[in-house]
Amino acid sequence: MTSNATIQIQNKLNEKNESVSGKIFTINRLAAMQSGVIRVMAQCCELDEIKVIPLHVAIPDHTLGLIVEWLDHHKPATDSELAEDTQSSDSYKRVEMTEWDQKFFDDKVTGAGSNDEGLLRIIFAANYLGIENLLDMGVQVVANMLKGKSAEEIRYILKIQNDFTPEEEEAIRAENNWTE
Amino acid sequence: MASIIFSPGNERVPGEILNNVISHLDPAALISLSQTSRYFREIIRPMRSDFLQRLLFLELQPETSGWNPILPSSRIEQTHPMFDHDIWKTARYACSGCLKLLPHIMFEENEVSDDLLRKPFQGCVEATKSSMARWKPLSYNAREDHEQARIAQEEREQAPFLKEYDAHWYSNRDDWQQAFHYLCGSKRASRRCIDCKYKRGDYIEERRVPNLQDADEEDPDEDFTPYFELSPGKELEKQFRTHAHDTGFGTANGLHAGNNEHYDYPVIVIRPLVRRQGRERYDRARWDLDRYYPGLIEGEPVEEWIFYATSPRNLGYVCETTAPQVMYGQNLRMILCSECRKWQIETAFSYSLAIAKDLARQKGPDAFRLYMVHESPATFPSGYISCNHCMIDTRFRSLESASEFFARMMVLEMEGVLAWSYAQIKRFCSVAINAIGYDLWANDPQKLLPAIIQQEGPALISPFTDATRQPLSFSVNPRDWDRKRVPDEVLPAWRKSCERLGELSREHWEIEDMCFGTDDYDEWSSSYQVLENAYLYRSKQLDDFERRHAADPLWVIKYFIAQDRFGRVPSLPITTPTAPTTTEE
Repeated sequence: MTSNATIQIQNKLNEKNESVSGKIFTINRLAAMQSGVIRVMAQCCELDEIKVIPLHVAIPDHTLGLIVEWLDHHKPATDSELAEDTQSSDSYKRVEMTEWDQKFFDDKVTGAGSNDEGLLRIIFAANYLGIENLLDMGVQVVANMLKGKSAEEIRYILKIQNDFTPEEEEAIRAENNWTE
Repeated sequence: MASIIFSPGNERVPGEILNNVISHLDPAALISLSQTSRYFREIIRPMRSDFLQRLLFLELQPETSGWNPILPSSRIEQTHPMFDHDIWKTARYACSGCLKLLPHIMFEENEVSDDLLRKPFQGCVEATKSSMARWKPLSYNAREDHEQARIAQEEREQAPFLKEYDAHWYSNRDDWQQAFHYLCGSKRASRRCIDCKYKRGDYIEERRVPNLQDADEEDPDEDFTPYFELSPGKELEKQFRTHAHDTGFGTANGLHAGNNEHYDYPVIVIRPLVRRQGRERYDRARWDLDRYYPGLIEGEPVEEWIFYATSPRNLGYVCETTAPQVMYGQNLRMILCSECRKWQIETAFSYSLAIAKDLARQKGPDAFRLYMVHESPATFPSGYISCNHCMIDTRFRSLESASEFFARMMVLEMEGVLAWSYAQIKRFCSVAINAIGYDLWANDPQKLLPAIIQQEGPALISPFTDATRQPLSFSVNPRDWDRKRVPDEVLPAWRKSCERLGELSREHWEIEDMCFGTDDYDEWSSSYQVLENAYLYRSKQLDDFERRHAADPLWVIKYFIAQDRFGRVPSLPITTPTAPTTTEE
């Protein structure tokens, strides 16, 4: 099978949600194989026999489109390169984000035109599809949003409700008394 | 600011994703997130090592001077900024004992400059490691075990690098550079401040009590030892006696040890500077006032590069070192205020030190005591060291009266230094008389001096013999700043004799081989000139000081208040962040 071969992914149809329309995305085979889910399906049966891979979880079309775009950009050149990329045993490995990735997340995922949950959807979808590098980048973006932030600022960003008692608050203040 | 819905407890967020996000946080954000809600508190369950890692992360941030001041490897002979340079003002270092970020002066020199304990440089292994939290989604106990295992693993990994580092510390070869790259800052998690070490008793074992009773004025090096030695395991190094090291300068704070002193209020010598090596003892020295009141007196430092062929020794200096790697270029001492219980650099105690010094000399009621009884009889200090802040706050009616007092104190200090300076000249001359006299009247046919020197000799030394019989007295009167100086005719007469001795020496160079008591009269002559210049310089500074005080009566007090330039660090009980109180998983 050549590296230019393509496959199709069909999103799950959700009649109650217009953004999940059962749309079919065409993607390069090697690019698609970065997904653990698709890779497993490919190992189970001949990919040629499956013309369209159906997803069992509804992912908004816009999100799935972004994922396809990301997969396409990070397409391995060969099967061996793909094998190398997907053989990591460390589930908490850190992936280096390129300028393109940064722009991808800034402009298309968390930027203008995307709703507040865009980043979370990408993370969820990457988690479901088993795209480890994308998942890693997604959580890196979340982690970067929290860098240098106080607890109060993080509560604001993540919409967390403070449920500490006054006594616990006092104990936490003591923890932060690290300057002379 | 981007905002996402990432509510804790929200069932839409799988635990594995949460764990993944948390494991990507930096150490500071990890703690912050654990402080947002009970939910995240329960997930993260921060341990003491997490708080320490946060500090080690924070000490590299720009707010704490980041990677700077850059301390080069101690193997590379480059001078890094001296401890009192402004660049250090914002620098903070993590203490693994009290878990605080503290100024550099709260640490022994090696704790901030040693290759393994210092802040790592950007890009090295330790710097990279410290940028990410070491949190793992494990139970509390499992995390502790994991942390221990990690430390053991790191030690194993570091072993070959340490071997290379120790074996080739003197070279810059690639292997050593690689080891340095790996090890730099790798042990900083064990750095401890002097307060923690003091409380832990680190300094008690090393303490040695100087023999105050039998201290020999002529050779204090034999008897005098510093009160604390901060290089455990090393043999105690002797110091030059400084003005504060005077045997009479003892206080109940343990500033100097004696039979009746205790150590509750310690003075920590960060760096016993002067080593008994070669000519370092004669390195350029500074006036005591430059030490206790740096920057207060305007003017260039006295040039005091003094060569002595034989005695007398010029004692009482605070010496600067020429060693390029040494950060604390002079003896830096930190003192714990007995009132506010805050560590401060010794210059912030100048007022107390001055009083203690005079009290301890026990020469009867003195100017300070008289003045203080008049000023505030009920609160006169009984020998404890208090910082300038506490003294000013509790013992003066107003800033003006404090300023007036401090100015008088300074004048008395300066007069004391003048007297000391004059005493140095007298001592110098008296030894010179003995030495020259021995040459003149040794009656040794093998060591006969040229006729001209035999002829002029008695006339040359007569100014010394005449003048040294006249004691110089300085009146110390708090009400009247009247004082006496060296009689105008004395110094010119001495100078003339010394200059003539130098001329004769240059004309008859063979004298050096002939004389027993002196190696070179010319050297005596130049040394005298240095001492006299020092006296004249100090005399001029005293005049300048009085003029400036007259122009701005609050100038002195402003100076004193600003002397805690590296902060006041409270000595508090060591606090350990509490682990979450929730039940173990």
